[in-house]
Amino acid sequence: MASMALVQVQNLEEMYNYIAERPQVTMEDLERAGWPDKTLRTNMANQLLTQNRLEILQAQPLIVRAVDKILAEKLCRLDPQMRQVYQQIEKAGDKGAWSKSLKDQTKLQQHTITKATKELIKLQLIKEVKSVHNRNRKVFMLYDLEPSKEVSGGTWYKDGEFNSSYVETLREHCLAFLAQHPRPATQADLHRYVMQHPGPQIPTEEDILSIMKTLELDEDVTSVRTASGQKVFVKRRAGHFQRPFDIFAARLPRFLQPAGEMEGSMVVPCLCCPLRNECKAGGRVCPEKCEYLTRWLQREEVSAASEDVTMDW
Amino acid sequence: MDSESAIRVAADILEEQFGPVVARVGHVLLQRGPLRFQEILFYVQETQQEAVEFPALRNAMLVMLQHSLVSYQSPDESYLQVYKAESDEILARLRFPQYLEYVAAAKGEEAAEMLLLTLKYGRISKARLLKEAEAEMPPPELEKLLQQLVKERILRPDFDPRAEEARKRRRLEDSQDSKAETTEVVYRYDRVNLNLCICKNLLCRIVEEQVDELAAQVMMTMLTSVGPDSNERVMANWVSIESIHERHLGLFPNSGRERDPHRLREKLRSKLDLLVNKVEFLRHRRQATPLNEFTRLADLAARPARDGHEELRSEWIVDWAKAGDCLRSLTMSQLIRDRFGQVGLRIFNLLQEGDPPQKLEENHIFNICMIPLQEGREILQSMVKHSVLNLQQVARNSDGAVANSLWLYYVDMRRVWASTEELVLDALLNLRTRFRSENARIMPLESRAQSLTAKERLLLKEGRRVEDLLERGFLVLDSVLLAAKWNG
Repeated sequence: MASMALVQVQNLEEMYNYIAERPQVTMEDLERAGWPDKTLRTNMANQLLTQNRLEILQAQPLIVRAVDKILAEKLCRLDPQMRQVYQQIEKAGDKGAWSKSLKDQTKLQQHTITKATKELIKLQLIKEVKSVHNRNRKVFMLYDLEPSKEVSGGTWYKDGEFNSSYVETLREHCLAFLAQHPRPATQADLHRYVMQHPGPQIPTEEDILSIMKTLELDEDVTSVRTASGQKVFVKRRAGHFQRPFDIFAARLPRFLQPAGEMEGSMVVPCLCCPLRNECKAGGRVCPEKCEYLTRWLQREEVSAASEDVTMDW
Repeated sequence: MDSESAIRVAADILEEQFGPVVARVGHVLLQRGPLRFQEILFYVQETQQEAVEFPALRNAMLVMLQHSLVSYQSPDESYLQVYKAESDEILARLRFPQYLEYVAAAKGEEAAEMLLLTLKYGRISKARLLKEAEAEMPPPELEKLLQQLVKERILRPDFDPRAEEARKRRRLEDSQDSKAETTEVVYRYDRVNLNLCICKNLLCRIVEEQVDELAAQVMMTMLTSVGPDSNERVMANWVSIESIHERHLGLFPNSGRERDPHRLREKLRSKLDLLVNKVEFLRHRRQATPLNEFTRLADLAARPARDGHEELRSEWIVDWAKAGDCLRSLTMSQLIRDRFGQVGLRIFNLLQEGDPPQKLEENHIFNICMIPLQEGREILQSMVKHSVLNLQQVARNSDGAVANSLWLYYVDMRRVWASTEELVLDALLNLRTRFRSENARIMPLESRAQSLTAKERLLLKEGRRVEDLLERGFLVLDSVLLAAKWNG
């Protein structure tokens, strides 16, 4: 009896190893591989399924796949409720499952779901991911799954937050490339250049197009279509004051002005004053004593545009 | 009808330059529209705390007429005249330093002095103008300069209203003598053309910053073909390379010195071609022009085998309407950038894209502009609050519930310009008020500038710098008004 059990275990391990070496296996494959007895073969597969070492990919015809040993061990520890929750999360795939939808699907109580998800997270079977579209909603998905673009937000998001610094870095790279190459650049040129500077993500050519769109809207770059219909980008010429065009910087063109008399950028603080509606000559808020105006007038150099009075709207 | 802010600024200018009675009259006329003299008297007395007597009002009206700040007409052919305040004329007084600066730079100091005298008197007779400017130049040259200024529409001849009145009166008394009397010509500044010159300078600055300095000079040459017609509408003409060459040499004599004329012409042509590609407001055409007899004979003599009596001539024109669009768009971009930052400009430009411009939801805007939700919402709300963006509700259900609606953002340029004009006028008034308070602070120091301590000298210097900065602020803001009222 003992020797039979030993033989069975060996056979079981052999079958598991055979299945694990392949992405998926049918019963016919097992028959051809040395398990011709249908009853024995089915019993062994059932035993592996009970041990969570196999998973069924398709019922008719039966297709199975091996489960990783460590994962199988973890799954063995799950009680039926946790297993139910796990299966629902697994079913949700890379879109993830929200706790309320888990409650509806499993018909379990909320606290049971909460307890189960906590335990599953602790076992590193699932993970919690912040959804970009519903910022207050967390979704659960299998630990080793990469969240879908709808959930993670795609290239521009990191941990559910917009990755501003990465976007800025890409914008700078693109501008730097255009500054170095005065000739029109295609998106492929820009993509190649950006790929030489590794970042937290790998941008696609479409991502570079999105970046260039923001630069166009900022009026830093212009785009034109060539005769072949290809879009090419050129950096706009920075003016005398390193801005696209500053109407307030000078009144006359340089050839009408004596040398060294260009004046520089000027931002009148009243244009972006938060107290504009309350401001009145002789009033409580008045231009005569205005603190913003005082700070603006106290600037050492007019051209020091970076020292503008900062305002919060 | 002028806005409340425009009326406040106009009254402030009048009060500062002509005193409280003129300011009051101006305010009444701007607020209530055209009025008869009795009505003006009534309304001024109604609102003025101190009684305004008839002579004071008459003098105020005369001053305003002298400076063309009011115009008059007889609506029903009677002798009762209706007076109307000219708000453009009043607000143009802010631009006087700019006119003087331009004329000094382009036509010389003597011309600027003549303009200054004209601005000072409102209307000035030729005799007086020449007499007062005598210190600057000998009279024959002055007269020549005056003719040149009239030709270039810096000054324009006008009839003296007092002489006109006297003429009318005499005609009533004795119609036989009317042929004998003569009216004296007076001169006043040409506001329309000087505004146009400032706009031309701004266009040259655009070219200078976006292309290069030589291209800006070529653009200035091209802009000599743009001028106001008799109805004060701006007209532009097609010009050939020969004409451009001639005008360029007139404007920039140094460019032709020690150079082959043919080479200069080719250089001008290449710059013009570059400009046609780079800026939207310069157009080029190749026009088939029939040769005149002289050119035809000369052509035949040179190339006897040539067939046909036509040739293709290159001509260029400044598209004034497009130039206005370009300047307005650049001005607005800069204002938006200064007020709402780079991200604000990005959103604003996105909402202006497409024909017609699209109305977009916030998520769509944030995705394209690549803005974090929180930051983007703050900027969007701020832009809505300042009337730069507008919101449209699109209900998802028939109940029209606010919470279950889509909110689309869009730009309405007419509203944006109206709110910007208000904003700029308010800012102008604030700077003027501040200027007066700063001026009052340093006036005691200014009055004894020769006997100041070291500390006081520093204070005076600082005060003057502040005044300069504030004055420059007026001019800066005035550029926005000029762009907004671009005469396309």
